[in-house]
Amino acid sequence: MSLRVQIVAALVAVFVMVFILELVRGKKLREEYSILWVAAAALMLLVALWKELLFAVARFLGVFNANSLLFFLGFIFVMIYLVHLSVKVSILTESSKEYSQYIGLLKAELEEMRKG
Amino acid sequence: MVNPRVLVVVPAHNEAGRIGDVVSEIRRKAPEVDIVVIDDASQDHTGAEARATGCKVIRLPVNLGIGGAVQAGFKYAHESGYDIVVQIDGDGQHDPGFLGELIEPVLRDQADMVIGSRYFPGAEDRDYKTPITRKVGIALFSWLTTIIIGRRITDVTSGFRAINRKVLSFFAREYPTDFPDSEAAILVHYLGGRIQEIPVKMRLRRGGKSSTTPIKSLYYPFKVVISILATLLREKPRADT
Repeated sequence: MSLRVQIVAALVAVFVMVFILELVRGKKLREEYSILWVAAAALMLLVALWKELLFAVARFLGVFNANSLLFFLGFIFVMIYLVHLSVKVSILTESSKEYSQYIGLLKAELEEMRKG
Repeated sequence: MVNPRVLVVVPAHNEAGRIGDVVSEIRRKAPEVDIVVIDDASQDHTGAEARATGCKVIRLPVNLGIGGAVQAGFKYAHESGYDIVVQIDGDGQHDPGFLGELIEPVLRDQADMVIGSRYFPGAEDRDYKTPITRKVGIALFSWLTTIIIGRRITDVTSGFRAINRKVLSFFAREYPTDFPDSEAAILVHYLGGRIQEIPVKMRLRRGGKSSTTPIKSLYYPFKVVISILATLLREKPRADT
């Protein structure tokens, strides 16, 4: 990994961190969803500034090309985040069903009260 | 404040067998206040038991957690024109006997929010045993909050609070959903609100389960730090009445 790559990676990590925090600040992103991104950006910054860490992990895992380890980790992160989002969507779908039923029942009760 | 209308908001989740006692204790020790129980999608008979006491009950169809439940109470209080709102948890930890002292600074217009603190210097609640995992988080946020506000806050996680209409109208619109207590003090400060603490004694919950899990305890510091950071960077909120 050349110095240029390190610098670019560090800048990208900082940019992602600032962008995510700005989304939270502007209330477009809830804090709970930002945590994974902030953690990932922090990790990316760490690896960019301390490339020996990446090499050591690559050696330990028996990965020949440290850069491919980076891509692999990036891919794993995206997968984790997608699963996280899928879980959240499932929960939201269930909530929506509950709200819909609750509102339907409320309306029916309201109309009952109006008649009586 | 002349003839203030006071509402006690009691958030409750799965407190069957206990909620009735909580409500009757409030009625006994503070007969002049109105009470609303927020049944946060309990799966047991919390709602029915609360209704049986005759107080107002708001049932939430989907569990929102303490932040969402209490905010529902705030919205109700704001719409109904209450002047002071006091939060008393449905698990019986808060002693309504302190209610009078809690609202006193608000009545005198000396504070916009009053926090009942277990760790008030010189009057620490020695009977309340805080688990060590939470003590560290609490200490960290007490320190952080103290630095940001410029005033010593000793019990940032206490939900035992009183607020006036100015703070109420803001919280009815905006209130954090997880771990609201820690951020609420900072939000009030940014509103230009005055915060005071009074010493209180709390009881341990009588049974049932706490909503805090080990995962939440781990997640808590990160979430609150990011929220506080975001709050500091946002424009100062304006309160309307």
